[in-house]
Amino acid sequence: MPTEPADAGPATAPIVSLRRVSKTYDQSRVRALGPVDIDIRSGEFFSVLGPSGSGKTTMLRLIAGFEVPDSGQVFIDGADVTWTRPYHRDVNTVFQNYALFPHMTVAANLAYPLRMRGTEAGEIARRSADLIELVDMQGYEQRLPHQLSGGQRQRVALARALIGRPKVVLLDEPLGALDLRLRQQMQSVLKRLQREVEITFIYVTHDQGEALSMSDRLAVMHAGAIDQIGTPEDVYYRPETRFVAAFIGRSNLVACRIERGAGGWQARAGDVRLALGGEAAPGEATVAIRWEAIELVEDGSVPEAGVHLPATIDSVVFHGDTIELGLAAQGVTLTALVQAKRRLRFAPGQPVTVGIASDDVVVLRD
Amino acid sequence: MRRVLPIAPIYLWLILLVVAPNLLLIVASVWKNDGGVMLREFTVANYGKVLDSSTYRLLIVRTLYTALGAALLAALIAYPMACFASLKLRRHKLTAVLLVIIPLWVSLLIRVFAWRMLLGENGVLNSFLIEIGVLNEPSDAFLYTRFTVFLTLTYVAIPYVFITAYTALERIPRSLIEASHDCGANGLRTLRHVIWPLSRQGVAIGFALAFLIAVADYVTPAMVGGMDGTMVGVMIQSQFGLAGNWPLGAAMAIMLLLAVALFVAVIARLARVEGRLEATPGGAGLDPGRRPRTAAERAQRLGQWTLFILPYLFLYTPLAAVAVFSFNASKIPSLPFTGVTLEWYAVLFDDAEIGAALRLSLLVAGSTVAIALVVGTGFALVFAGRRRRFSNVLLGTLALPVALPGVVLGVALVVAFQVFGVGPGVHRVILGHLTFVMPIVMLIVLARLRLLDPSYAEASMDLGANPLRTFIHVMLPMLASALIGAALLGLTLSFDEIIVTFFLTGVQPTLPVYVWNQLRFGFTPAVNATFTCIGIASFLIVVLATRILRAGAGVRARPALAGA
Repeated sequence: MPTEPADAGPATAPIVSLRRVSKTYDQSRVRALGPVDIDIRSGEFFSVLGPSGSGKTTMLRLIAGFEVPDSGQVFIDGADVTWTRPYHRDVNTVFQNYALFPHMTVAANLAYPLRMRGTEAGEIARRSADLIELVDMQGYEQRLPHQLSGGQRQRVALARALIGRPKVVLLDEPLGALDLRLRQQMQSVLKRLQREVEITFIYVTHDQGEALSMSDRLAVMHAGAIDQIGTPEDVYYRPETRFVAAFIGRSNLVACRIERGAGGWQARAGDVRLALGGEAAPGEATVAIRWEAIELVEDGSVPEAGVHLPATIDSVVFHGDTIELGLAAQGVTLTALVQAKRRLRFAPGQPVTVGIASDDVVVLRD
Repeated sequence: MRRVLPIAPIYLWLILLVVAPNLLLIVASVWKNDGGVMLREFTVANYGKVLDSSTYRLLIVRTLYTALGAALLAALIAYPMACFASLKLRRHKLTAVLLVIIPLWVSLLIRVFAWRMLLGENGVLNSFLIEIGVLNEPSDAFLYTRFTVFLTLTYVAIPYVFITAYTALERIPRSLIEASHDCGANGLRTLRHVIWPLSRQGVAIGFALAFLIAVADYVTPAMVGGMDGTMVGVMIQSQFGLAGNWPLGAAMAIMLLLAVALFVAVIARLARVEGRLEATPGGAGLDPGRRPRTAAERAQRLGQWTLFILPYLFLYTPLAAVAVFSFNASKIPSLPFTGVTLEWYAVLFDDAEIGAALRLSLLVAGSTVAIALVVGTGFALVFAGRRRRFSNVLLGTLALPVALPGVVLGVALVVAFQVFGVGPGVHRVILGHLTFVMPIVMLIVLARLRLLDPSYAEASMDLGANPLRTFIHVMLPMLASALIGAALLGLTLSFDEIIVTFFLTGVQPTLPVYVWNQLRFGFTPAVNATFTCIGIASFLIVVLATRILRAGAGVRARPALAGA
C-alpha cells in the first residue's frame, strides 16, 4: 500500500497551517472546532470530510478569514494571518450556494476580484477569456447568474475563485446542490482543473465518495476534532477511530481483547481469535473489519495470513450488485458484503466458512 | 358557476370602493362648478384654470421639491441606519427596527404637533434660547416656514425609507458579502459594488412611499407651514372646503397624481437593478468573532454608531417633549418647567366632547375592523385558491387606496359618495376607512394562508369535515394570530386616520379630528395629555400586534418537514 508515513513531512513548508485553533460561537455553548492542528501541503487536493456539525465549515471559514478563532493561529504560506481580514488574504472561496453577484454578468463576476486589486482592463480581459475557456463557458459572458443552470453557475464560481491565482482555493460543499449525474461530471472537472492550475484546493464535503475519489489527502472530522488525516487508502483501510471506521465505508466493530498468542498478536472475541497483522498493545480494544473484507472460502482450505471461521448465515439482503450477509461466527455477529453472482444462492441457516485476512483486522484507537 | 361565484363580491368591492371613486374623480374634474354645486356638463376649463394659475404652479413645484428633498434627506439618514441595523447589529435587531417604525403608528397628528410645540413662538426652542440668553424675545423664524415643513416631512419619512431599505438589506444573502470580501473588496467597496446595487430598489420603494406621503400631505403644511409653507394638499382641500369648487379640486388632485406618477416612474427606472436575487441559504450569520481594531477602524466604527444612534434622538425627542409637557403646570409649553401636575389629564377625562369623540372613534375603528376581518379573510381565502398571476393584478388594484395619497383618496371618496347620494355620517367614515383597512387585513391573511401547507385542509376534508367545518376547526386556529395582528393594526390605522375622515365626517368629529379642530383654536396641555394617551395606546397595540404576529410565525413548519 503506497502510503506516506505521516511524520516524514513534506519537503516544502505547508501552505496552510492551523495551530491549536479553536472556535466557539457566541450563540452556542458547544465548541464548534478544536483545538485542531493541521498542515496542508502546497499543490495538494485536500478534503475535509465529516457529517454536518463536525466543524468542517468552521475550519474553512477560519482559513478564509470570515471568522477569527478564539485561540490558536492560522498561517498561510508561512505568514500569520489569524487577524487578517478576508480581503487581504490570498485565498479564494467557492461558496456552497456559489454566491455569484446576482446583479453582475458572468464577465463582471469574473472581473470583480481583479478590479478590486486594480488590475488594468486589458489584463482583466485576457485573464477572463482564459478562465472562461478553462471552465468551458464561452458564449455566456453576458449572462446574468439567474439565467445559468446550476452546473454553469458552479463553473463560474470556480472561475471567479481561480482568476486571481490565489495560493489556496477553498471549496465549501460546492457540488451539494447538483444532481447526481452533474455531480459526478463536476468531480472530474474539478480534479482536472486542480491539476492544470496547480493551486492547493481545500475541499469540504460530507460525501465520502467525493472525498475518496478526488483527494490527495483528507482529514476526517467529528465533533469539532480531526479524527484522522491521511491518504484516501490510509483512511479507508486503516481507520484509527470507531467514528472513521463507521463513517467511511461499512465496518464490523468488534469488542475484543488483544493478546499475544502462539503465532503473534491476536484479537479474542468470544471463541473467535483473529490474527493481527503487526504489533499491538495488549488489553481491551475494538477492532474494525470492513464488510467486504470478510470472504467466503472453501471449506477446509488453509488460510495464508489470517483465519478461517465456521459461521451460520442469519440473514440475506440482496442489493443487486452485492449481497449482504448477516453471519453468526462462534458467538460473534458479523456482516459480510459479497459480490453477487447468479450462481451464488444463500439462505438463512446455511453453514459457511469465512476468511478474514490479518491485515484487514484493524485495531482502533478508541 | 362555482368559480365565478366567490369572485363576484371581490369585483363588487373593487368597482364600488376603488374603481368608481377614482373614475368619478376623473369625471368630476371635467364637470362645471356652479357656485359650489357640481354641474354634470363637460368642460376642460378646470384643467385650464389649474395650468393658468400661477399659485397652483408655484405650489405644485414647491410641493414636489419639498417632498423630494424630504424623501432624499430621509433616505440619507435612514439608509446608513438600516445598513448598520441589518449588517452590523448582532443583538437587539428587532428592537432597533421596531423603535424606528413605531413612530409610524403614533398618529401623524402627534408627530406634526410635536414639532409645532418645539418650534413655535412660545415653544420649547424659543423659551430655551431666551433662557440661555441667545435671544431676547421669541423668534418666529422657526415655525411657519418652508424649512419647518421640510424638516417635519423628513421626520415623517424616515421610518418608511428605513423599513423598506432594511427589508431589502435583510434579503441579501450574507454569502454575497463574504464572497465580495473574499474577492478582495473591503467594507466600503463591498457597500458600493454589492450591497447598494442589491438594496437600492428597496430604498427607492421607501423613497417613493415617503415622497407620495409628503407630496399630498395636508396635516403637516396646515399645522406647521403657515402661509409660507403651504403645499398643494392644502390647496386641494380648500377647494372641497372653503373655496367650494369640487371640480377644480378634482382637477388639481388628478394633476398632482400625474406629476407624482411621473416622478415615481422615474425613480423606479433609476433604481432598476439587473439580475434576480434568489432564495439561497445565506452565510453563517453567526458571530464571526472580534478582531483587534486599528485606530482608523475604531474611528470608522464610532462614526457608524453615531449615524445609527443620532436619528433615534431625532425621532424620539419630539414625542418625548409631547409627553413631558403634558405634566407641565403652565399652559404654555416653554422652559423652564413650572411644576408637575396631572391637571391636564383631569381636564381630559372630564371633557364630555372628548368623550363623545373618543366613543365615535372607537365605534368607527371597531366597525371598520370587524367588517374588514370578515371581508378580508373571505377575499384572502378566494385568492389563496387561485393562481398568483390571476391574483396579483386584482390584489394590487384592491390595495390601491392604501397607496393613494390621503388627500386624493379622501377627495375621490367624497365625490363618489356625493354622486351615489350617500350622506355624511358614521357609515361614510367607516366605508372610507374600509377602503384601506380591508386590503391590509386581506394581505396579511393571504400571506399567512400562502405559508400554510394546503395538505392541512385536504387532510381535514379527507377525514370527513366539510369546507365550513374545515375552516372553523383547522384554518381558523392557524390563522388566529394573523387575524389578531391584522385587527390590531387595522384598529390603530383607523383610529389615527385624519385626512380621509376629515373629508367624510359630518358634524360629529372623531377623536383625531376633534383634536385637530381644537388645535386651530389654541393650545392647552390637555392636547398633550390626549396625545400622550393615544400614543401610549397605539404603542401598546403595536407591540402586542407584533408579538402576536411573530408568535404565529411558528405555524410555518410544514408537516413534510416536521418529520425530517
